[in-house]
Amino acid sequence: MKRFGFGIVVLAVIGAALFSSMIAVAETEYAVVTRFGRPVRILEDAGLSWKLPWPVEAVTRIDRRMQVFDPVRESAADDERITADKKQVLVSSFCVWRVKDPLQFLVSVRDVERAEARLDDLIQSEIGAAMQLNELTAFLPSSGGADRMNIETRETQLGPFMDGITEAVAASAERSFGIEILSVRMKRLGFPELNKNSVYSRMGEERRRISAEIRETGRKEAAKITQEGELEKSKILADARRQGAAIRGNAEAEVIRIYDEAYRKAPELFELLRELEVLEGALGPDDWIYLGPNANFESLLSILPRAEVRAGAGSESDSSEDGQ
Amino acid sequence: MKIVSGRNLGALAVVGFAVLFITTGVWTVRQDEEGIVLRFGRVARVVQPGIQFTLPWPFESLERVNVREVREISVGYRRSEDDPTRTRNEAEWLTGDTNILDIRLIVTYRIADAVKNVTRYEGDESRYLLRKCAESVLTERVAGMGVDQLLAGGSNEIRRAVFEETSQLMEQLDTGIAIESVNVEGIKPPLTVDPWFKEIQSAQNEVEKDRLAADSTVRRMRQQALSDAEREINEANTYRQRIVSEARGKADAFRQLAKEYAVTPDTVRTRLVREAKARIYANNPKIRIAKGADEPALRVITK
Repeated sequence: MKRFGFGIVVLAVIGAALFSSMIAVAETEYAVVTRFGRPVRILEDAGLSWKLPWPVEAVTRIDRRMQVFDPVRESAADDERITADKKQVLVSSFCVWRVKDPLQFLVSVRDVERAEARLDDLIQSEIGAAMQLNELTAFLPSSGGADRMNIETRETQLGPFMDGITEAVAASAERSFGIEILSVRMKRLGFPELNKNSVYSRMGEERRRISAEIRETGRKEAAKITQEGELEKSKILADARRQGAAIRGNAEAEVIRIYDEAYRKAPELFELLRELEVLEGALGPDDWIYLGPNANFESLLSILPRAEVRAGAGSESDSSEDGQ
Repeated sequence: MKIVSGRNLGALAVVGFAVLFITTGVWTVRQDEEGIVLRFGRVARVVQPGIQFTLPWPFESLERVNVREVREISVGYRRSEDDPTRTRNEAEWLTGDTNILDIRLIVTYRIADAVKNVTRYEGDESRYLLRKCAESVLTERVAGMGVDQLLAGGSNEIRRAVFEETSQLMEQLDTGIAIESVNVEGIKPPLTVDPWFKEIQSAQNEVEKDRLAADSTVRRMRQQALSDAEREINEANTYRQRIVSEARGKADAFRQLAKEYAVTPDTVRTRLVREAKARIYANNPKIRIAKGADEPALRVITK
């Protein structure tokens, strides 16, 4: 019985040693095996591994997942950067990183919190320095000058700028902290609260100008439409009057032809009618006519010179009653 | 003491293993999930919905990931259940011509690669990374566009760019997230300056109204002119008909008279003269017959 109990103790000790020699490494971590506190090897592959039992070898686990670092700022002023042309902008960025060299990471920064504090310094100083080398138009291609409204042809350099930051931060972070930087990206680009009011008032002004332009153009266009309408109208009317005049002219010519045709058949009679008519027209109600003893009415005809009778032949319209 | 016999110990081990297996080796994977089996922390296999068995603790464990559910995250504003991560002036974006616009998006996504999502990121971190990435893409895009370009149909370009570039980032950053869609909820001027943007709208409406009014005035004018023109021509035609038929009538009468004249010229002549005389005398009463022989045959005094 005593031997059996002892056996159990031995078994338990062996079991415990065995258990402390096993390391289950998760996919999400690196396991750093330390012998008496000194790192001896890194287990990068997930799954079951072995080490010497505690207390000879111990294990430190380091998260190998992606870390998203999005720094918290107490006030907007902390994000303030100045461009080469002395414009103030707010730049907020985030960074995706992970531990690449666990050993160096452990030695240089030890944990995520401290790593991110160092990364923040690195990123912010890189951004700050790089911003000072660029004018605002590099990021906002049409932020200056008169051609602010059409920017189709110009591109923002924001992407390449952040790629540059990523590259610079990556090199330095890997060298110093064993950290791989996957990306540093600009989350926001903005103006400080104070400058925003001037942006708003400028936007308002611009809109007012545009609406004034729209109204002006509209007025001109409407005037042009009306003007063209007037032009068309007078053209239509002029055309019609010309046509009308042509019709009247033709009609009158036809009338003359008709009369002419008829009168040519009996010129003598026509002459007589003409003479009578002219006489009738020539003698108004206030004219005096003295007839001598040998005169009769027909001698009146003789006072009309031939030429006058001829001239009277043209005015057809006056002779309407005589024809009947 | 009797209990700790060899046989009992064996039985105990079996019972213990059975209990362990039942409590830590049997899993249900729901219809919309995938199960990732981890053996000592290493991804051993991925299992589909249904009852699934694994080796018990501490050998294997199973993690379930919802791979069907389409989730959404807002960009430019926060929904209440979302993380309280602070961003100032959420909806405000700077355009390339330094205007500020209020832009809001909804990005829908699902987890396409469960293993990546679980092993590369902690919890919901990838979800918030998605938002940040979409924000950064939007920042860059908006900085490359002008305010008018954005307001007039910029949403298509924004939607496409955010979809493509953010998808690419999700891939690059090993999130295992697949973006399903990007919806632009709104691209609007900020409230402070909104009235001025509306003013443009009303200016445009007014101009359009004026143009329509001018058009209809012109149309009316043209119609009036056309009808005037028609009347003018009608009048001319009527005139033509009138004077021509008058002339024909007179010409006919003359021909009639001429016929008579050809037969009896004196009779016709006498008749015509008499008729003229009658008319002149009726019109003109101031006719004196002179008596003296020395008087001229005829004297006419006209005023």
